[in-house]
This record gives sequence, structure tokens and C-alpha cells, in this order.
Amino acid sequence: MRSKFTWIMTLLLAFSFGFSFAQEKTITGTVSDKIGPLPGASVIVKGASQRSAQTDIDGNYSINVAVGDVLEFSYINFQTQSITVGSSNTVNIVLVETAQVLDVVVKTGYRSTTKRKNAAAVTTISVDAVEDRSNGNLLQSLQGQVAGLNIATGSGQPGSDTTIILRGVGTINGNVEPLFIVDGIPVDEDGFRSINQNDIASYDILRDAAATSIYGNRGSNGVIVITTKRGKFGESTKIRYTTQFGYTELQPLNLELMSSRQLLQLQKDNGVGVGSTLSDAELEARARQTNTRWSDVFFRKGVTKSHDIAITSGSKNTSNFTSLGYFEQEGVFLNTDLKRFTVRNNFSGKSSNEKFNYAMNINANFSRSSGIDGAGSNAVFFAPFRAALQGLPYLSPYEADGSITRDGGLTPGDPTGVTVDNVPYVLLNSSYMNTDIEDEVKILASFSADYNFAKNLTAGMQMGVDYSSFRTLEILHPESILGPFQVDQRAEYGGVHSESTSRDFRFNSLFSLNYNNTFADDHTIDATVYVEYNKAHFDGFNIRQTGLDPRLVGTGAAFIGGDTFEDLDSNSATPDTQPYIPTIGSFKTEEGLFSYFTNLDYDYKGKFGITATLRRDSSFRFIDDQKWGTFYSVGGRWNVDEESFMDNSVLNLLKLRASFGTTGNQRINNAQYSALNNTRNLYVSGSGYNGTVSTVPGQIAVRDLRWETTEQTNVGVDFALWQNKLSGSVDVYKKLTTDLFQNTPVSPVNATSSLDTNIGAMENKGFELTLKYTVYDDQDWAVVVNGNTSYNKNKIRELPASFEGLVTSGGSIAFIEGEAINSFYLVKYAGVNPSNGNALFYTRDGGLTETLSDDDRVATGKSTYPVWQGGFGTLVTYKGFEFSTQWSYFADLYRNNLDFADLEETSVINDGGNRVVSVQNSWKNPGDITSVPRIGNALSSVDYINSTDRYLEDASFLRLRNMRFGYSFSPEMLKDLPVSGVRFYVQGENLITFSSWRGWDAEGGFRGTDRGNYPTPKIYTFGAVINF
Amino acid sequence: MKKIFKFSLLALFIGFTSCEDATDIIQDSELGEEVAYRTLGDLQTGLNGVYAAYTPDSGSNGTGDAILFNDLFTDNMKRGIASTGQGNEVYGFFMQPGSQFPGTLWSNRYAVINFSNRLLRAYDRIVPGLEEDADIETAERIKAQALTLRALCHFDLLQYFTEDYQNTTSLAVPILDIVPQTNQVFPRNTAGEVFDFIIGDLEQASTLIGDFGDVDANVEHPFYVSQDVINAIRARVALYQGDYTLAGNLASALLADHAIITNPTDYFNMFISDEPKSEQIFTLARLQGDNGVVALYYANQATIDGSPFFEMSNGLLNTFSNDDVRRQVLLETSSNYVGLDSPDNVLLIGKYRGSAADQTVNHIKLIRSSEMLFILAETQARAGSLTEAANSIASLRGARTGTTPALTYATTGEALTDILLERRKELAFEGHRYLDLKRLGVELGIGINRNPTDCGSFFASCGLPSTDYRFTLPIPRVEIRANPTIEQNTGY
Repeated sequence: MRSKFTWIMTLLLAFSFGFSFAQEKTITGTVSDKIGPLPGASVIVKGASQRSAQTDIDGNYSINVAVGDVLEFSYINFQTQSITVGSSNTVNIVLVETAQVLDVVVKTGYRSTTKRKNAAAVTTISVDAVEDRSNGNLLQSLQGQVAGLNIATGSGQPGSDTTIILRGVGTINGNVEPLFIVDGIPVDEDGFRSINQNDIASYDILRDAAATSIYGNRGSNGVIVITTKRGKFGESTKIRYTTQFGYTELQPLNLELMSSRQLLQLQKDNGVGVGSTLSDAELEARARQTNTRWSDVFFRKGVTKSHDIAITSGSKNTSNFTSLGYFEQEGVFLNTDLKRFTVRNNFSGKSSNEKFNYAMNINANFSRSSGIDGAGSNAVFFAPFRAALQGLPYLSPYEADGSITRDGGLTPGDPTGVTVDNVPYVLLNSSYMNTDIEDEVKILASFSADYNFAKNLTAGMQMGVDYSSFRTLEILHPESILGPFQVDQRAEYGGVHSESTSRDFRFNSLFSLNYNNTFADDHTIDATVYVEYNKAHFDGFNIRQTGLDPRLVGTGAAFIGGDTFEDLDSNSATPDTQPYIPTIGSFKTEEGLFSYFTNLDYDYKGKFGITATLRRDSSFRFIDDQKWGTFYSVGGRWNVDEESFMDNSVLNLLKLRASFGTTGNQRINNAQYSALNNTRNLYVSGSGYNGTVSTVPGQIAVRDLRWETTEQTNVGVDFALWQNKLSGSVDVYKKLTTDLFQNTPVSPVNATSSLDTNIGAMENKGFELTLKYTVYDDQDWAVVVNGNTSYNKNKIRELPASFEGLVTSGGSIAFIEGEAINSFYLVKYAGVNPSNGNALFYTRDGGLTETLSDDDRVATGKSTYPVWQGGFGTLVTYKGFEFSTQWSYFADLYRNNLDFADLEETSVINDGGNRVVSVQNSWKNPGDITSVPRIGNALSSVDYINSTDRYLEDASFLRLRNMRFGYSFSPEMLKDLPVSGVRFYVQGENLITFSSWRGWDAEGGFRGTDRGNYPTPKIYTFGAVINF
Repeated sequence: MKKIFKFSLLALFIGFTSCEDATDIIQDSELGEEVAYRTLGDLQTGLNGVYAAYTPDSGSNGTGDAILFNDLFTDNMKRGIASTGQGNEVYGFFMQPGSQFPGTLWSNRYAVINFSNRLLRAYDRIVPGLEEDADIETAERIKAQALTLRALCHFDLLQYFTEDYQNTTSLAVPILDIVPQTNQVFPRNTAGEVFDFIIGDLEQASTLIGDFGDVDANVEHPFYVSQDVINAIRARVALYQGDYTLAGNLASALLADHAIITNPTDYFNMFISDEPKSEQIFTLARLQGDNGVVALYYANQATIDGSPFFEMSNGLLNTFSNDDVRRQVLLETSSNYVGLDSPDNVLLIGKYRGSAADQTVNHIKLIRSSEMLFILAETQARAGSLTEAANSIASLRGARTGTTPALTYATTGEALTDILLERRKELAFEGHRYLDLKRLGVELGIGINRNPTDCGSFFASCGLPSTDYRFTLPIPRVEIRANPTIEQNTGY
């Protein structure tokens, strides 16, 4: 080991040099281990200034300190040692080897600590775990990596937003997603498609109250702290180029659709549809001629590619990181893609005496997402994914010349063509001709500075901006099949052009004053007071023009003037009409928060620590006595391994943690800019009767709205043993949310039927386990396995009393006291009545009935959110080769499969959709025992979905989320080349999925019902990393 | 230490000076209660909102209000060729507290009542400040309209939710004459109380309305409440109450002012191009951009290519002779009539198929003289004047077909049965059928009896006896949820 390190360190030293500053005195010395000097070991002056030095190739260092300062000596894989500076000017240190585990820096709240001294439940994902992944949205790469962190992507649109749930859903109506902090600045949790994954240095997932309470007004759902890469002081310029190229591909379909022959025969047998008009010979001919899998037509192999250049450099007092990135990924569905251009510059500087530090981060991104609307839609002519799944197989997708048709021979504006049978043609035409673009300009900018203006005292400030500007453009082409219907069938022009722009500006500032001191060598206190200000502004403008000149589609040049008159009824006696009047809209909203808070950390000899937070928060959403909320937390740790009785233990790390605290949620209706004034009675002005203006009540005030509060108890253990070969952590927690934001029913005599109020309670209990085990490690070979799992049991403790324990709106999902949120509340399906072929259901008391009745609904105990979630992976390295796998799983979650229900629909069979082969087994004669009711039975797919559990499926899955094989060239091989490192790899995302889900994609973003959604793709890429 | 103070003060200063800016935010778009109604003009805009909120014609894609429900639940509709299952539950007599229509009806009518009551509250605040007589008169007429619409909504609710409205102690619906607090709940008043309340509102409106809305039928549509509208609603109310003398008197007075159209072409045009207006007593204005009745039956336009998911029933079509103009109104021209009761008949609903100005929108003829004629005929029959009753019905048939038939009734029951049939033909798709069967069905022993081809198109039951509990709607779940003590109707 030693010789390897020495060699590497020699190389590293070529890029780094020590620096020193005149102050009270200079300490020199040597850092060594039991064999000899350690080059490149770090020497840090503890405290706010964070001055540091590195040992040279002979292990010597030199650093300026004051008497009483604490020097900390650390080196990779060695135990860190601290010495308080006394009178001596020479300090020689012998470090003791630990094992491979590095004591990573952990970011909790507004400060950093080490894993060893952290008293909170925090998981840190370093860049290595997710670097070079090929997902359009960087958060997708975190799936399965962190115990307790549920990441679900409900769409295969490249870069699509993810739903993120940490430790269960803690609210009914309020915000469910964690707070995201990028380099200290809170950012929009839904805006990650524009951010370049390769700029990220680490992710810290803050789970318990000790960690999140410092973000008390937004931290109820946990906090994810993202830190971007920075340069290092005194580091020569380095350039890293990375590139990827690959393909996206549809996942296999886990169900058996009918072929042309099967479907036509079914129609013929039942005397409906095209099949019933064909003789046996004609049917045979049609089936031979055409058997279309519409998914092959709508889906494709997409191309994905990316290029990134990152330049880092540093001088004595400044350091810089600059990156440029380009990413492009085609979705697997026609005409969908994401293109992204990103620029980042992170600059850090400090004064020569190291008392003043500052940093400026600027990140500008542009992304364009070309998508397609209609995922999940029940409007068949606007539901492209449904058409791809359910399109009739006996329709040919080809033109006479063998090319794929763009219109199926349908004439735009011909209403006889727009029938349910022709849905695939209509959608294919729309997919090719229409435009659906969403452009985002996202700028994250932050400035921070701190000044150690007096002994032990540091003042800090931080300001940040998250600015997003959106432009959406949707054009329904006037020459598309549906185009001419958009204004009026008789009007000369058709088509729709909808365009909107919006600006979202979020400003955050934080001022702090920190006191840090160590008393009597053993007692370290770190106390900070903060004042925080948040303000956000959102405004926008939109237009919708119907009637476009087909020659000019794309801009306002195509708009047919609103003052154009047309004689639509071809009757000169009646007045002409103005069919092309555009609609416009404009909005402006703002919101704000103000807080002051304090945080205290106490450490005794590195053995015990306490951290406490107290804060007061004010939200613009509340008034009077409810305006301010108070939140607090207390956490403690005991580093048992530091005790003398543990000296000869196999345990390298054993830390017990416990915390309790509260956090608040003030986003009454989840979204940032909603429920902005619920405490006030409001009226609205709108369009009234007979073309007039009206004034009607719009909102009834709920004056006592207040903070939704979550209290959380967490107990955890961090451990490492056998020279850190096995390391991990276990956490057990309980979260109780009270004053839940939820709708309380009010009588419709109030002109509304529900109001947002604070009422009820919800609980989440669970545990999380993370393990890492180094199976084997020698000079050439290393095998590491890791895994995590989490269990979360959600329970609604209390609903508004008037609901009598049950909130249902007649759909499949209800809120039930004692059950998990989003539990399915359905009538149990019993099968098919052999005597008449009708569906049978269980009544509430266990009898059988053919009649669907809400009285027979029962709590199924099944929820849309998973109870179990986790992941595991392996990493095998041999010399320059590496092979890694990352699996993720969700278990015990359920979803209604409306796609399958539609395909197994037997109430009608000529509704323009294909069927699955099981429909052949439908009931035909008295005595038939089958699972499919008779053709022509009274209940449609939607009836089954809304009221029964017939298509409620287990959506659990185990997925090979990522697999990678790479090779890094050794420096010897590169020594004649102008590069310092080269690495190649191939990788795949979502390669294998094990699931019983009947469809393309078991992953469904925690939806309750799936119908015609965009499935997530497999992604294969080849990548290269070159360091200069 | 001085430095420390300076810095702390600076930090706190920067923080606190901007505190209120972040925590006391009034959005620019807020319209508070105190500025919503300041002037007489504001009151008028409030009234515009009350009218706009009353939407018996609302709905789309299989769900709807009274105009859809009355015919879909009964025997005037069948499944359309472009159906993907719309309306299955309603057509299948599936009726529960959670069903869509009772909830829609309850919520919509009480919203109109709430808007009216807010307007009346603002009226009380604003009127004392008015000085000009003309302004006071305008304000009073606004009040009269609000009262009438409030009464109309209470009456709508009473008809659907009361098991037996001729029994004054039968439970009806809560009376709302105040703006309620959200924590208040109201029990059901009795039919007698609700009728008294409705009549009180109508009488007060009658004293305030003056000549407002009394438009020249040749020039303007009767889009607003007028004395005639109040009387027509009063006639309906009297009929339901069993006050047949009053109902008959009001009906015949209104018929004198609003003559039945005798020219079949004019009748046809009334439903297509909204002209002429003479037969219309109260018409809801629907302009381009408003929800069209076409949306209740078609995904697009009222043609065979407009994706009709509902069609007219064979049963209804078979009641018409070929020379009956109502057949032309009801049956859209692109229909495909194959033969009697053929399952392949495509019978497109053509009433309210769209005016010249807009393919999908027509004004809603909420109250027409022909309904007054039916009220008159019924009161005549009930008074034993069977010849007069027969003449009344014969005159209407003559107006619709061009030849007045000879018609005699032997018994009151026969007369009422024929009036019920004629109501079905004349008032189809205008929001009457379910209520007519509910009102007359038990008495005449007539329930829902669908043509087998029609119910076959939905794979649904073909009949419902007149005594079935579903001829009264359930108190909807939205009310029960907030008002667990409210009493449910029998059978639910």
C-alpha cells in the first residue's frame, strides 16, 4: 500500500503546493505513519478559518497558528488526530492507519461536520456513486441509493420531473417533497432537468429532525443538500472532458395483445366491428396482410449524447471551477427529446490572512424539452401512449410505397375519418405534426462570504437566487387531421397556437454570526445565530390563438386576425361571426418567509456531542396569532469507539445517535405558488350572463390556518468494524404530523363543498438500514457490495370528524383513519358468475352480488406508496477494470391498471381498442368457469377501476437500475500522451426489471391509476473520461 | 466587543427591515369583500353572476345537469355510435348518494342561492345610500330577479329531492335565505315550508319587478326575469302543489301573451336559429363560447361525424308521425334511419343543435308557452273538463303537424296519460321527462318502459316501475359529508 500511495502523492504534489501566512507563529513538523513519512497529509487549523497545509514529499509541513489553536492532522485511511498548539514550534505526528473508509465531510443544515461528529441522520452520496449516469434528470440516478429515499419517475420523457418522498408522506394536501438546497440556496424541487449532473460533487440527504430542523419552515419532508464541484486553492489547472453516446429503448411489454386474426375473429364471433363484415377468407387475408404492433410505430430507438468540459484551477488565494456541458437525449416516443446546455462557474477566494473567505457560484442553463401531451388522458384522440398500446392491429401503418404513414389516408378536417377505430392514425399524425416545446432558462447564482472578525467569532452572509424562466409553445397544426376542427369545422382556418412565458424568481438571504471555541482542550462549542429572508415572485403571460395560416405556422405571423369576419353558416342573411378571437392571460404572484434561528453544537473530546436548534418562522400564508411558528430540535451522539474500553475492539466506529425535533410546513396546497391568501374572503370578477361582467364569491376565508407541524424522533447507530470492512448505519424513526392541511367538507350551501383547513394527524414509522461490505481487497482485486433497505409504515391517525373516518370522492383511493394515505377503497371482485357471465363482487359481509354498491367497499390495506424500498449494488475492480451494478426495488405498493382493464374490456369490444388474448376466454355459455365476464356485460373498464379491485395490481419491482463496465488506463500507458487519465465505460440504465405488473413499466410515479403513460426507457451509453 | 455589536446589529437590521415585505403579502389579484360590491353597477355584476351560475344545461362527456339527466335516466335516449361508455351508470338506473347528478344539482342550485343571498345582503347595504329614484328602482328590480332565481332554485331542488311534495310534511330541502357561516349546517325543511318560502319570494319579486324584462317578443329574447317569468314559475309551483285553479289561471293568462307557434317552420327555427321568440317565456342566453347543449350528446358537433355518444331513443322517435315538425327538430338530418326499431338506427339528437352563429350553442328555452298549455290542459282534465283538455292538446298537435286531429278523452286518467305523452314529445331534451314521470307516474301507473332496442344498446334494464325509490334522488354525498345529521331519502 505504502509504495502505491507514495507514487500517487508524488504525482499529486506536482499539482499542489503548501502555503503559509505570517501570523502569531509558525509550526513545523513531520507527519508519518509507523513506516515512514506521509506525503500529502493535511494539516488543518480548526475553527472558522479552516486554514490548512499539506505535507510535502518527505512528510514535512509548516503552518501559521496561534497558541491555543487546535491542529488537526488527517490522511486518507488514517485516523485523524488533533493537537492543541502550545509553546513548542515543532509538532511531529504519527498517524494510525484505520482502514479504507474515509471520514467524509457531511453537510447538515448550514454547516459542515464530519461523519464521526455528526449527531444527525444524514446520508451522503458522493459523486462516484452516480457520476456518469445517463439520466436526463440527475435525481433519477439517486433511486435505490439511499435508505428511506423514494424516487419515482412517472414518465419516460427525458428529463421529466421525479416525485421524491423521504421517510413517507407526511401530509395530505401540503407539500410532500423534500427541500432542495444547492450550494446553500433553496431551489425549486421540480426544476432539475436543466442541471448538469457532472457538476455535482455530493448529495447529502438529511432525514431526522436534528438535521432538518435548521430548515424548520420547509424541512418537514427532509432536506437534500446538493454541493457542486469546486476548485482547490493552490492547484494547477486541470481539464476533464467527458462524453457519452448511446441509445434509449422501450422496455418489454409484459402482456399479450391480440393479433389481427384474433381480434377480427373475436369481432366476427360477436357480430360487431370490422370482423363481423368479413367472410372467413377475407378475414384470413386481412390478418395475413396486416398485423401491426402500434408500439413499434410510435416508439423508436432514441439517441443520447453528451459532452462536458470541466476546468479547475487554483492560486494561492483563489480557486475556480468552470464547466460547460451539452446533453441531448431522444425519448423513445416519436418527437420527444431533451436538449440542454449548461455553464457553471464556481469561484472561491480568501484574504491572505485567511480571515475573510468568499465564494460566488453562477450556473446558467438552458434546456428544451420537446414532449407530447396526453399521458394518462381519457380523451382518446389526444392520448398518444394509449394509442400506441391499444391501436387496432388490423390497421396498416404503411403507405403504398412502404413508408410509415403520416395520416393513414385521412383527410384533415374530414369528420368521417375521426372515428375511434382511426385513433392510431390521428395520433401518429398529431405526433408528427404538432409542436410541444418547453424551454427553460435556469440561473442559480449565489454569493457567500464570512469574516473571522474577532477571535472565535465569524460573521457570515449568503445570498442566492433561483431564477427560472419558462416558455411553452404548443401548436396543433392547422393541416393536421384534427387541425381544422379547432375553430369551427366550417371556418376557413384551423389549428391552435398556445404560448406562455413565465418567470420564477426566488431570492434567499441569510446572515449569521458564529462563535466557536474550545475550552480546557476538551469542550468545543459552536454556536450560531441566523436571520433568514425568503421572497419569491412568479409572473407570466399566455396566449391561445385558434386559427392559423398553415404557411406560417410557428410564430404570431400565422395568427389569423381576431377581427376577421366569416360567414360560417353560408347565409348572408345572418350576421357574420368572428371565429379567431385569441384568448390571453396574465398573472403575478409572490410569496415570502422570514425566520430567525439559532444552532448550538457541543462536543466533548470527540466522544459526546449535542446539537440543538431553536427557530421562529413567519409565513405570509398565515395571520395574527398563527403567523409565527416555533420549531426546535435536540440531538445527541456518543462515539462509543472513542472510549478506552473499546481500544481492542473490532469496531472502528460505533456511534449512537438520538434526536427529537419539530419542523413546519406552510405550503397548504403543495405547490409553491398556491393557496396564497386563504385567510381572506375574496370575490372574483369574471364573464357573466349574456356577455356581461360578473362578480361572484371566489373564496371563503379560513382565518385560523396555521403551520402544519411534524415532530420526529430518531434513534440511530453508525458502525464500522473489521478495519472498516463492514460499515453501515441503522435508524429507527417515528414522525407525527399534526394540524394536517386537508380539506374539511362544508355543505354546498356555501357555494363550495370543501375548505382547506388544519385538521387531523398522520404518522410515519420506519427503519432504515445501510450496509457496505468489502468482500475482498488486495493490490489488484477489490470486491465491494453495498445495500440499503427501508421500511415505512404510514398511517392516517385522524381525519375531520364529519368524515367519520373516511374521505372518499367515489374514486378508487380514499383516506381512511388507521390506514396508509392513498389507500385503495374498493369492492372486492369475486370473479365471473358461471350462470350468466356477469361479474360478481363480494358484499361487505362476504356474500356475493352482481350489483356494484359503494356500501360494499372495503379498505384493502393497499396504498400507492411503497412500504419497502431500497437498493443494492456491487463494485468489482481489477487493476484498471471496474464492473458495477446498482439495483433498486420497491415493494408493497399498488396501482390500478386501467391500461390492462381497457385491453380486457368486455362490456364492448368494438371501441377502437385492441384486446389482450385473455378476452378469448370470456364467459360464453352457462357453466363456463372463467375470469373474464361475458361480452356485453354492463360494467366498463372504468367501472372496475373506480369501484373494484379487479385491476388493482401489485406494482412492486426489482430493477437493475444501472450496470457499468469500465476501464481506466494506467498512467504508465499514458505517459507519452498529453493526457493524465483516460477511462472508457459502457453502461445501461433500467436493463432488467422483475415485476408482475402487466404493462411496459412497473414504475409509475406513485400514481393511483395508470392509463396511457409514457414508459421509462432503457438507456445504453458508451462513455469516455479524459483528464488533461 | 464593539465590533460584535456592530455586526449583530447590521445583520438584524438587514433582516428585520425587510421582514414585513416577506410576510405581509397581499396579491395584486385579490378582490376583497368590501370592494366587490360598492355601487349599483357592482350589484348588477353580482346579478350577472347569479344568472350565469344557473346552468341546467351544463355537462359534457356523459355527465350533466337537468337537461341531460331527465332524458338519459328515462326513455328518451339510447347509446350513441361513438360511445365509449358515457352515461352507463345513469342509464342503468345506478343511483347512489355519490352519483354525479344529485351532487351536481344540489351544489349548483345552492351555489346560485348563495350568490343570490350575498347579492341581497349587499343590496341591504347599498340601497340606503341611493338617492335617485331611478337608482332605487333599478336596485329593486335587481332584488326581484335575485329573489326569483332563489325561488326557482329552491323549487328545482324540491322537485328532485322530495318524496311526496303534495304532502306538506314530507321532507324537502333546506331553505337558505341567509349567507351561511361555514360551520353552520341546515336540516331539511318540509315541503310545505319550502313551498311557502318559494311563494313568498315570488310574491315579493312580483311587487318589485315592475315592467322590467317585459320585452317585445318580436324584438328581444326574454333573457331576464320579468313579471311573466315570475308568473310562469308560480304556475309550475301551483301545479306541483296541487293548486290547480291557480295554475290554470296563470297558465291561460300567459298563453294569451305568449301564443303557441302555429307555423311548423317557425317552430323548427326556434330550436335551430333561436327565432322566432314569441313562444318563449324565459330563455337563458347562451352565447358563443358558452357550454352548448350539443356537448351533452356529442364529443364535437351535432352531426353523425361529431362523435355522438348519446342518441335519441327509438321509443321516442316512434311516437312521432312523419309530418310532425318535432320529429324534424329532434332528429338531426345526418341521422341514419334503417327501419323500425333497428339496432342500426343512428338517431342523432337535433334539438339545440347549434345556431347560425355557433354550431354548438343555442339559447336555452327554459319556459315555453307549450308548457303552459300542458298545465292548462292538465288543470282542465283534473277539473273534469275533458273536452277542453282534449281541445288544448289537439290544438298543440295541430300546430306541430299542420292538421288538428279529432281528440276526445273518456276519463281523466286517459287525458292525463295523453298529456304525459304529449309532454314527452314536446318537451324532450328540455329537462322535463324524469320530473314528469315522478309527478304523474304513480298516479297513472306509468314507470319507465324503454323500447328493447334502446335498452339493448346499453345492455341495461328496460324498465323501472313508477313506485321505485329512484324517482326521488338521494341527498348527495357532498351534503352528507358536511352535514351528517341530514336525513336521507327512502331506499338509499
